[in-house]
Parts: sequence; structure tokens; C-alpha cells
Amino acid sequence: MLGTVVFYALALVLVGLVTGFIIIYNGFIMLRNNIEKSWSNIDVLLKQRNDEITNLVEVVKGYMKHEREVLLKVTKARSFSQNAKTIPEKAEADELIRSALHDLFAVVENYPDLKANQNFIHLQKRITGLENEIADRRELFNDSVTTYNIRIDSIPDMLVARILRYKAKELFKAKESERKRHHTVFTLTQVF
Amino acid sequence: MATDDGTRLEILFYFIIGFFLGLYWFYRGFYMLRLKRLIENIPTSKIRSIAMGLVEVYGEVVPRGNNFVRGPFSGRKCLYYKYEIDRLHEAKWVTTRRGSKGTIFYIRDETGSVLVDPKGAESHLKDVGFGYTVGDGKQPPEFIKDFLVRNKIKYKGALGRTMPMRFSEYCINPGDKIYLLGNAGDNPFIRKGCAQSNEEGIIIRRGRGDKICYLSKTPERKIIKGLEDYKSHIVGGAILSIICLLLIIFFGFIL
Repeated sequence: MLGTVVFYALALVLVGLVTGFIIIYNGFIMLRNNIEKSWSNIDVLLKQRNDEITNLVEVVKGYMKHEREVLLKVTKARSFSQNAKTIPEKAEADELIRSALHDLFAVVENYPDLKANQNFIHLQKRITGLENEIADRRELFNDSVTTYNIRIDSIPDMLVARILRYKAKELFKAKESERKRHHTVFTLTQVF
Repeated sequence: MATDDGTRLEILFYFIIGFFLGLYWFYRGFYMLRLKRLIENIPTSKIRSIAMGLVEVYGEVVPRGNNFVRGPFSGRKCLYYKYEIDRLHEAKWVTTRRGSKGTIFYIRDETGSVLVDPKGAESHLKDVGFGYTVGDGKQPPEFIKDFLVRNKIKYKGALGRTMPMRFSEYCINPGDKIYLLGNAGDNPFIRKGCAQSNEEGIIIRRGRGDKICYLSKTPERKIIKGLEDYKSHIVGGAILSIICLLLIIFFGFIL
């Protein structure tokens, strides 16, 4: 009789452990898929923004012949974005493009003809919309990565993460050293 | 002797119930853990940039035009309701019937709106919008009586007396803030060729594959806190079923 109860209790413990493992494992799969999906959603918007920037520069350069530095900053930021491979590089490129576009739109205030241009208005609205979406999806991506990184370091998920050799993932955030390096490069480009 | 056998069988019956109840709690604990993990794993999206697939949003409920449903017991207009009918069984209220119904509505946050189809959603609505108890000579009002007759629910016992019953109605009304976990996809209700606003192009509802749609008036943090009870369900369920098994064997085979 006692043997039956002990066997049943052990069976429950085993079922519990296996079920727990499956829930944790499936959770990790979901988190990793969320991260990949949210990254793809950002990447597609970054590419769309780059395409719109090309069109924007074409519209703007006819009006702003004397604003060479500002336009150069935008085109260089765009080039850097297209060549960026890693997530920190793309985050850095994103910051540079935002800064360049901010400067460009500030300068456009001095050109009323350009401000009234329908193509420019459409492009500005489109790029602003894309920037808002990128900001939202960046937040979502970073939330997913943070949840994942906390999970792989918490008990009991840590045990499963070690078995599966899961490592922490990078946030969509520029590294401080890279940010300083590229800021210096862009500043020197403007000077020369 | 016959009485002793009868008593023993009755005790055995309760222990068998206890055993299966324990197993149910054990299973329920893992279900709660799975749901808690799912809610934690999906970050909250801003509505203007929701992606297709499983999403989590939080916002205010806005009706779509004049689309409403009426609460089954109160008759009041709302956008979604859940009801429970309890009967008195040995001095305890036991839920014997439940159901839900809703209409398509918008959920809106500071960035935009999106359509929601709450059909088939699992809802967690704690505050009773309307409650009514009958029995001991107290008759159900006409609205409730119509509902009971339409759904063929018995409410009169022997000699035509109204049985003790409790009616609870939980509603989602315009202006309520809700948490929603569901699948965002193309709106299948859009007719091709008709002009539609952007906010009707996407709808959040129960998915086909994972069948998830969870609605709650409680913010995410409180939902997760509520689900932390899973530990007591798992441990309590296991202990209950083990003890009941021990007692079943003791009373069934030894005594």
C-alpha cells in the first residue's frame, strides 16, 4: 500500500518536473521568436526610412544649395545605416539619422518655398511616421530582449538556459564607445 | 453492517472526489503558470505599431458605431458580457451555467485605435456589474425569467417554488480600460473595394492555431500577481491527491 502511494507521489513529481521543463523551454522559444520577429519589424522600417531619405535629399537639394553640411550629414548617416551589420551599429546609425534629420528639418524652416512643396510635405510626414513606428518597435524589441535576458539569469529558468546554452542578447542601443567614435568622425567630416 | 458499508462507501466516494479534485488543481496550477509566462513574455505594444501575430495591448474601450449587446440579466447595453448562474448546493453556491457574448469594438490608447472581436475570448472580469438572488419566495424579474425560458434553464422546483439561484453579470462598457492578449491579423470582415479607415484594416481576436484571446479589466501587473497562486495549486493539488489516495487505499482495501 505504501509502495503504491510512494510510486504515485514520485510519478507526480516526475510529471511536474517534465511539465515545468516544457513550459520553461516553450517560454524560451516564444521569447526568442518574439525577439527575431520584433527585430525584423524594425529592420523593415529602417530600410523604408533609408529609401525615403534618398527621395527627401533629391527634393531638398534643389532648394538648399547652400546647406551642404546638413545634406552631407544626412547622406553620410544614410550610408552608415546601409552598411551597418550588427544591432549596436544599426542603433548607432538610427541615432545619427535622427540627429541629421532633426538638423535638416530645422534648416528647412528658412526655406518657405520648400516647406510648401507637396513632395516635401508628403516625405516629411512619411518619415516622421516611420520614426514614430521605429521608436515604438525599438521599445518592444528592447522589452523582449530584457525579458529574455532576465529569464536566462533567473531560477529555475537559468537551469534550462544553461542546458540549452542560451546567451544574453543585445539591446537596440548604441554602445557608448561607438557613439563617441562616430560623433567624432561626423564632426570632422563637417569641418573638412 | 449495512450502515457501516454505506458509511464507508460514502467516505470512499468523498475521497475519490478529493483525489480527482487534487489532480485537477495540480493541472490547473500548470495552466496558470503557462498563462502567467505567456502574459509576461509578450511585451505591451502601442496600437499604432502593432505587428501581426500574438499581441498584447492596453487601452480604453470605444464602441463601433451603434453596436452593442444587452446584458442577459440587467438588460443594460454593453460591449461584452460574461454571466454565471449559481445554484445552492449544501449551503454553498456552485456555478452551474456560464456564458459570454460580445460585439466588435475598438480599443484605443494614446497612439491610435484597433478593432477587437471578443468572440471566444477567455475573460477575467472581477467586478459584478449586476447581481441578483432568487429563492425563498423571491421570484426572478421578467428580464431574467425571459432569459431562463429562452435558454431552457430550470428555475422552479417541486410545487412550483423558485429554486435558490444567484445571477451574476460582468460587463465591459465604453470607457473601461482593458488588457487584451490576442492575435492581430487582417480584418476578414472588410469587403474588398470599399473605402475603409486604417484602423479597421486590422482586428485582434482569438487565433486559429494557438486559440489565445484573453480579456481583463485588471492591469497586467495585477493579472500576473493573481496568477502567482499557481504554486499553491500545484503543491496543494499534489498533496490533496496523495492524501486522498492513501485514504482510499486505507478505507477501500484495508478496513
